[in-house]
Amino acid sequence: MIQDAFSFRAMNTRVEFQIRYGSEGDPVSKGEAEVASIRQAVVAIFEQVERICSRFLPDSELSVINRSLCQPISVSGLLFQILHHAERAYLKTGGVFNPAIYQRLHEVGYRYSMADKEGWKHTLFALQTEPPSEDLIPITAFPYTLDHQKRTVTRKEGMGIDLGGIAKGWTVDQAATFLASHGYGFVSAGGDIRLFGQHKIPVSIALENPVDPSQDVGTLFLEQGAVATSSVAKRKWKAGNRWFHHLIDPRTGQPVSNGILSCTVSASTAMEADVWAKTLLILGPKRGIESMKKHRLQAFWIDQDGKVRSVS
Amino acid sequence: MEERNMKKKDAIIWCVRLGAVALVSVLAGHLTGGTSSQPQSIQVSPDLQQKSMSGDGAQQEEGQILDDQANDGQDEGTLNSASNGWGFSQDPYQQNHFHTRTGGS
Repeated sequence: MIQDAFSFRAMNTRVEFQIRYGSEGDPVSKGEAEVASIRQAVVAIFEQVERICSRFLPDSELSVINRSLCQPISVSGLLFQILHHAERAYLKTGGVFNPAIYQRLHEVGYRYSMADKEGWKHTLFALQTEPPSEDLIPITAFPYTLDHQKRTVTRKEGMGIDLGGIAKGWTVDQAATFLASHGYGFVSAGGDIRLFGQHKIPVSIALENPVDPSQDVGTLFLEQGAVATSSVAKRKWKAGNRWFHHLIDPRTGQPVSNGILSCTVSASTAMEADVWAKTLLILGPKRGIESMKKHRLQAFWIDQDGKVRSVS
Repeated sequence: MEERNMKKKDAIIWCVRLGAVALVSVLAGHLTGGTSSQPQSIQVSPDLQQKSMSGDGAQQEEGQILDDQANDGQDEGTLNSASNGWGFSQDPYQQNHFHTRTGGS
């Protein structure tokens, strides 16, 4: 085989990679066993991160921290790295990206993985009898401190940690780094896409229309780096007469509601693109554009009227 | 003699200054490249180019507003190839290139 395409489910989303072995001028043929082992290695990368970083798995390292008594806890190198990246993202985005949204996500109903139907049945019932507060509940503090020498993390009192999107982006980058040693192509997971290897012909990436996901609004062409999309049209639920989704604005503590439905940002890595796509969606058009320009990022967003806007 | 020495001294000072400026520029470029997000060169399809409006208003007059009707049926071939998982043979744009979709999760 000189090329492969493989998809599987992890982190409750569809993961896909496409690869051509070798380089564009020098293709390499791989045997079936090697192709299978490359596939397995990519699956293992995603499974490992999910096992460690999921807030839904009670035995994950992250869940142990979230239940801890605010004492320093020694953690794996993998989790420490992602926690460190999350801290940097918090500082770089001026607190717009904040893993401390954990508590609010829980309060507005996102307590179980979207795949856990039974858990959601109970949650929706509970939300009807006890609706989440509509008051402003700003989240300004960061939820943990890191000790780089001892590789420990200390959770702050009354706070929890959610690493959802940033962990997914980081994993896409790890998988791309691994696959780059075998050829060129891309890895995609739930809106986060990272290219690897040398591309002489740009990869075309259709931009899904959040108003009608069966349609696209156009196509982006990328030769290197990554793009990520954040959307309020996904992972949403209704309790009583109120719609909720998973993108919490730390400035209000409420699900974002500024008329933007989805944002797509291009950056060097999928992790960065994921962080900035969320940041743009939360900040909204005016401050979002300033932020994208300041960090020299290209972005597209689609508002509730279906208008596509761009900044570069 | 003294005047020649002064000129020599001035020339050396200027050389040192220029060297320092060059070094600072190289370092600044290096640091910028190493620590900040580099813009990826995104190209967009002509249809998206037409439909997108510059967010800061600079090109608002030139762009058109995208509406759902204008988008009907768009990219169907692309979509099919993407949902089949492998787009090489059904590539609507160019042979031998990769294609995928992004829509968030």
